[in-house]
Amino acid sequence: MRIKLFFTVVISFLALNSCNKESTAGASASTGAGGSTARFTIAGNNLYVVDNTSLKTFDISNPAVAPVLKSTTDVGVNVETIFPYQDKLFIGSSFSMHIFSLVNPEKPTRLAQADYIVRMSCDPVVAKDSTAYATLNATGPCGGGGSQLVVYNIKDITRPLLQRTLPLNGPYGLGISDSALYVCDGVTGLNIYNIRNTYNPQLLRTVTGEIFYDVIPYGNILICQVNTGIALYDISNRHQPVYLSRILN
Amino acid sequence: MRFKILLLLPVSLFLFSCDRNPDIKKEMREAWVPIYNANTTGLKTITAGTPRPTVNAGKIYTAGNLIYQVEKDSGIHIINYANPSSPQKLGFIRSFLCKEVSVKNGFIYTNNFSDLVVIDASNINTVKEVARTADVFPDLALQYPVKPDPFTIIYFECPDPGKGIVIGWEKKNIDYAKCRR
Repeated sequence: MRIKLFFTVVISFLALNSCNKESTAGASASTGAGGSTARFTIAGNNLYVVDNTSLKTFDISNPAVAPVLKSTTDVGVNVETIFPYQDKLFIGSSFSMHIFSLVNPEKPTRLAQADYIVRMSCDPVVAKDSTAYATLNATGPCGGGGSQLVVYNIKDITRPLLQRTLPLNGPYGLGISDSALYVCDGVTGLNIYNIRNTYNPQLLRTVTGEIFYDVIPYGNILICQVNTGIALYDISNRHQPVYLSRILN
Repeated sequence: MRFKILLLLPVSLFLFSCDRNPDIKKEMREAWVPIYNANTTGLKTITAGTPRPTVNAGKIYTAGNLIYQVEKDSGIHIINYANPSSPQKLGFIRSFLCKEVSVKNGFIYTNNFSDLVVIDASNINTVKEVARTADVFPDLALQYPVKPDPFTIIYFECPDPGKGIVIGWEKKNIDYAKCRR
């Protein structure tokens, strides 16, 4: 039994290693926005980097000076993504969503950890106000089926409550702009949800025809990483993206 | 039970950290042999060039009117979308083993090999490295060949850092592949 478990873990971990996901975004004035599957993010004067198990904080207040490592914080195992929101960092791992406080920006402290039911998956997380959204990709090398969008109530930031799970086919990155949630569901397309009722996303439409890996909502533009390159959509109407152009690979 | 699984994970991690393995017997077998580039200075130099096709599309980042897209293991494409109806590639910044990108005030933060580098890209024509912190991302510069699938065990000659940086792998019949993963 023990040996069996050991091999199961080793094999699934090996499989996870080859799991490669792309990303989504959060915006601020001088730093711009990255994807939900990034491992680097900038907040204030610090660059935060996650590796497989830890969160590293670098002081980048003076760009001309070599970034100084200020702290290394243990996060967990199979850490994949980092997303900044307000004074918090949302970190996605294969097993859990981790939330860290940036009250002390040079030494993030853990606020909460919510474990997923679908444990072997690839999972970027984004947040807005009192809600966090994560996609759990349980296809192919990422896991054993049952991909989901999970919605957490984070009103009490130390106790995330799972509010809802919605089925997905093979999700990658995701992004939020106002009352719209954009979820890249791989070959299925880009799902647009109305999140006016934040804990209960309503699927409005799916943009189909190409594989969506990653989105960054940035002002009125939705930047999409697709299989052929980068596609731009006008999201002046957040719920109804209008295709603008693309730059081919 | 759950706890037990978590305890086992670091162990499994260790298994494919692919260190020298004394259990591997000396025998002739097909294995991967490193291709070195001894010019580590060259590989650790940031340079800019003209736009090029995207082959291994990586992560994206945006700031101002620009999109920065990682070309996995090679660098960063700079795309101008000031006119979102007609985005244009402006140029390419080479950074060996590049995987991540973030930008603040026109400065790009990325990895170059296992180093964290800061690049002044405020002007695409005068791109230059302004700062570097060495060896902070060992996991972004893993020096081993890629497995064809998670279940195949591959053998390879352990990289010798003294010979330079591994830039590729070739298959050869050798009698003593001490590393495997």
